[in-house]
Order: sequence, then structure tokens, then C-alpha cells
Amino acid sequence: MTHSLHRIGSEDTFQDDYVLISRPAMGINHVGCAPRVKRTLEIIFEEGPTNLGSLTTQENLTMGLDPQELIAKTEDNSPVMCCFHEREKVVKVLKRLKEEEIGLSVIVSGPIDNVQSICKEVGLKPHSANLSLGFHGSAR
Amino acid sequence: MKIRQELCVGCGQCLPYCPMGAIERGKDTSRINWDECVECGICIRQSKCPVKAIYEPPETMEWPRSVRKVFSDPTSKHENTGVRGRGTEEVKTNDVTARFKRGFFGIALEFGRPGVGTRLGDVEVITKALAEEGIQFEAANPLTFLMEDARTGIIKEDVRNEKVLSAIVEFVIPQENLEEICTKIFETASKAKCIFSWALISRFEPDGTLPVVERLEKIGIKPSKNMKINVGLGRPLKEE
Ligand code: SF4
Ligand code: SF4
Repeated sequence: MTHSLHRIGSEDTFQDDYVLISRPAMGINHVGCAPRVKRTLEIIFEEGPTNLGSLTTQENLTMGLDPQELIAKTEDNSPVMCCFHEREKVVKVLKRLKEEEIGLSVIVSGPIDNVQSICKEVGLKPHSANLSLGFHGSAR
Repeated sequence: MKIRQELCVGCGQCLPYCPMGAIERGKDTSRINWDECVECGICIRQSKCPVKAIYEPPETMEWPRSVRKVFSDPTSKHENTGVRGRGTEEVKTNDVTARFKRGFFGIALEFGRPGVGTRLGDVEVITKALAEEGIQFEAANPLTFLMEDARTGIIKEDVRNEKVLSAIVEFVIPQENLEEICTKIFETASKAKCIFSWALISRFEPDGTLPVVERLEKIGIKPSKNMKINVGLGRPLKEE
């Protein structure tokens, strides 16, 4: 994985490479949302992400992040950032977030056809897309 | 960032962690090139220096050097936005903020990535050209805060030479200006003195399509198949 939006390399190298980010909108629905962020983390940990990083503890799973410690330290403005290599896990996480009406914004970064088919399966209507238009300029 | 020379054993363990290649290995110890260091903090957080020789001296937070850390270290907060990270929440919370509405597109240019960093003054080639087109830069973006005048795109003199890991320019355009603005960016890109990546944010149409892809392809811009999709789970949902 290179970046949550811009990827380097051929498309087949990131076919099953999904980044999932969830966060509240500051100033709109962030006050008192820590329990919902914690629940999101619990669901993600139960499904088993390939990796999950935290700005709060400044660690990630591969470095030995402790899920329970992270959940305990979660605050209203703690974003959730993780990645999966299995389509099915992304489907399950989204289904559970939808069923439990968590209400935090969620973005999934991945090949558009795959993400759209995941949304269809879960019963979600994708809202907006961020498209990578490539790189420019010179490195001197 | 600096390395305490009296502690460093010159093992070189921290060198590969620096995205700027700013850590230089000497005969007995390593040193950080002060001018090239963007204060991202990766060395101190990740390299597990065996003697804890890496430290953040107080000068790091003196103006104008202090802008390096806020633009390069995702764990630090921008004072004017209160948000951690280098830009706004962009597409991530668009289902709740409606920052990018139907009939408009969001554009974000990220300077310095991948992997080279940028001097803040170098982004001006693009910001000036965009200002000439009448672009209004996103007020909640920390780079806009460092412009002398957001109507001209000129960067403040005292921060121009500060090197940062990345700086993001964000703005919104009406749908009908897509071809004109993208062509302008494309033309100006050849004059840019640093690397930048660019991205466009669009609402899906009610039928689930993204017509902007075809419009971009018509002017020779091919968006990547990898996209960042806001799946519409945020509440209260804004449909506008
Ligand atoms: S703070 Fe970042 S740029 Fe500076 S030496 Fe450490 S890793 Fe390199
Ligand atoms: S890891 Fe520590 S001891 Fe080793 S070169 Fe870097 S600063 Fe010096």
C-alpha cells in the first residue's frame, strides 16, 4: 500500500487492497462520539484488519498496538484508519456499522468497481468520490 | 530534530527511517541536516535509537521553523483548524459536511509527495496561476493561512524557505469550469519546481454514476481506478 488515494504500480497489484477510514465531522457530529468510535474499532478488530494505525497511541498493529489500550484511549476526535486485504471483511464491517447505525462517516479506498460492488452488497449508496489524477512537477 | 552528539554511537539505525534522507552518517556519529529536516518526527517515533540520542530542540517550535512540524507531522495540530493532519477532512466527512455539493467539484493539489518534500515558496507557481483564474482557496486549509493574500496566491516571505513534507492546496470549482481549470493546472504543472499529486472530489449522481470521469478523459486526464469513496454512512446525512 502506498497512500490512501494515490497508488503506484499496476491495477492488479491493489485489487484486494482496501483502506478504511472512519471519523466524525469536527464541529458537526464529533461531540460525545467517542463511544461510537470505540464501537467502530471493536467491530474492525473483531473482523481482523491487515493493519490499523493510531494517531492517539502513535502505533500500528504490526508494531504491536494493543487493541484494548487503544479503545480505552479513544477520544471524540480520534480517527480510525486501517486496511484490509479481504473483500469479505470490508463487507462485514460495513454491514455491521450500518446495522448498528453508528453514524460516523466512512470512506473505503480501493478499485472503484470493487468498492461499488461492496456498497451494493451492503445496501449503501456511495455519496462522494475522491479521484486521483496523478503526479506532476519536478524533483529538481 | 537533532541528534545529541555526546550520546550517538553512529549505529546508523535511524537513517532509513528519514523520508527526506536528512540524517547524515559521519565517522563516529550521525547528524541531522537542519535545513533539509522537515520535522516529521518519524525518526524519533519509529527508529528506536538504542541510546535515545534523537531529540526535538526548543528551536523547532520557533516561528517560522514551527510551520515545518505542523505541515509534516500528522500527530501535530494546526493551530488555525484544530484538526490533526495537513488539510481539511475533504471527502472523508462529505456526507455530513456537504463541503462539496452537487454541481461543484473539489480539487486538492498535494505538493511534496511522494517522498521529496517541498519548500513552501515553491507552491506559488501553481497558487498564483490559480489565483489569476479567480480561484478562492479553502479558508480552513493551513496553507491558505500562510498566504500573504489569498486573492493573489502569494506565500508569506518569512515562511517561503521552510521545507515541509507536504502542503495541500484545496479549492472548489463550479462544475462548468472543470475543463478550463484542469487544463490550466496541466499547463502550469510543467513550470512547478516541486512534485505534486492532484485529486478531484465529486458527488455521485443520484443514479450512482460519476460523469466527471468521462469529462476528464476527453481532455486527456485519466483518473486512477483506485478511488476513495465516502460510502454515505455519516449522520445526519446531507444529500445536497
Ligand atoms: S524529523 Fe523527519 S525529516 Fe527530520 S530527521 Fe527525523 S525523520 Fe528526517
Ligand atoms: S539510531 Fe541513535 S545512536 Fe544510532 S545513529 Fe541514529 S541517533 Fe545515533
